[in-house]
Amino acid sequence: MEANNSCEISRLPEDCLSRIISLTSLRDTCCCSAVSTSFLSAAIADVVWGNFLPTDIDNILSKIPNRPVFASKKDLYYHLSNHGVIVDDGKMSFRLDRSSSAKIYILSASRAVGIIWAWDPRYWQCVPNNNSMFSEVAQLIVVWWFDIFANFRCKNLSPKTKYGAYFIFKLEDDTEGFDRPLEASIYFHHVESHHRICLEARNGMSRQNPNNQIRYPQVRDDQWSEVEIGEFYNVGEEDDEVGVKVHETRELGPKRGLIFNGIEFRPKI
Amino acid sequence: MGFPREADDHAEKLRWRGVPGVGDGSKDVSNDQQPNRNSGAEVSISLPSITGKILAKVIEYCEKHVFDFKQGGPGEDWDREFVNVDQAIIFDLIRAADYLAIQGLLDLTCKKVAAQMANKSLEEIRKLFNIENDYTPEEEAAVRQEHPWAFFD
Repeated sequence: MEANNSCEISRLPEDCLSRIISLTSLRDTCCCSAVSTSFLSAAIADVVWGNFLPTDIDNILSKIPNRPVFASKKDLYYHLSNHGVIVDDGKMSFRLDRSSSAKIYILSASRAVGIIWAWDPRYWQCVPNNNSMFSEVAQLIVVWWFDIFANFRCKNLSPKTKYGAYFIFKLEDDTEGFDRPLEASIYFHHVESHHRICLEARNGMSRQNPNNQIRYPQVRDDQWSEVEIGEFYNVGEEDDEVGVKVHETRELGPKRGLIFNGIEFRPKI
Repeated sequence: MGFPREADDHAEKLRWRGVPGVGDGSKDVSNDQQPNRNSGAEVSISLPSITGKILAKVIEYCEKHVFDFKQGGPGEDWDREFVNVDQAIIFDLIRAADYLAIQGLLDLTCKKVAAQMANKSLEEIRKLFNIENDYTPEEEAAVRQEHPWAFFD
């Protein structure tokens, strides 16, 4: 197809141009919106952005008590990728990965993650936190046996996608005991992988020190810190489940000063 | 619509010989239907702004795909060669397929154009389709700002 001197594409009806754009990728669609004002008009049509929303999005949103309403599917997409929504009666947050449109879930530490000793307020407490999407976070008072685990049904995630599981937290000023590594494991398709992680950042340490393979935290856009627990490839089978565990139950030194927000499952590029 | 017509008296009327599943949803049939003169399977549809040349291509597509539901189409190679044409022709085919509601042809032609756009930068798309940028610099910056990750230029 040769490029022409005249602008042939401008003679197309707008819904035909929308149809063409709907056959391109998310990245190409965003690019098209900046080409010209008529391209923008075609690029923001529902027929285009409806493609990027998950097919079960109505089902997901229908379970939210105050379901947000948007003028267009593009607006819905942007809300889901920039803010997300709280689902499952406050137990999880759901959003879309902006550039791949894959699903991202965060399990609330206070509602959807197993924490040994959390039933005893001498050790852990559920408290509100202004920086969290959830109504409460899990605040560590002190514990010696540090043991956190969670399971998640993979059918909630986007199929044929590689995912990472991340521990989302903050350390308080008076933190103690987290300068030593913790054990992190991920269990998927009958295979368990282990890594060591450290919640205290070390100056000059990159995310993963290749010598001793300890993973160190990174600061997220939402100002929480995160460290990767592990990764798995979600095929998309109905019954698949992923299990994650973060624990330190050997040396059993005292640990205090941790605010635990949740565990996130998001796609890895 | 400003599209030049070829001097072909018969170009505007397409005798639809009962091709199943093709043009069933044609947008303007009712206005121009004429009494059936022959076997009753023939209707005349007026097609403004579509030349005989484009119509011939549309008919060629329809004749090749008429038995898709029974024995499959002519194959990807034929389809690919069919849309291996100039931009102007592709866009005329899109408009014709849209007007006549020929789903298969519309999909094929739109996919061709979408493939041309894939992974191109903003300037490359403008150049490819000879599009004039009618944004002010501020407007363009605002649109880019919505999704900066999409631009690599």
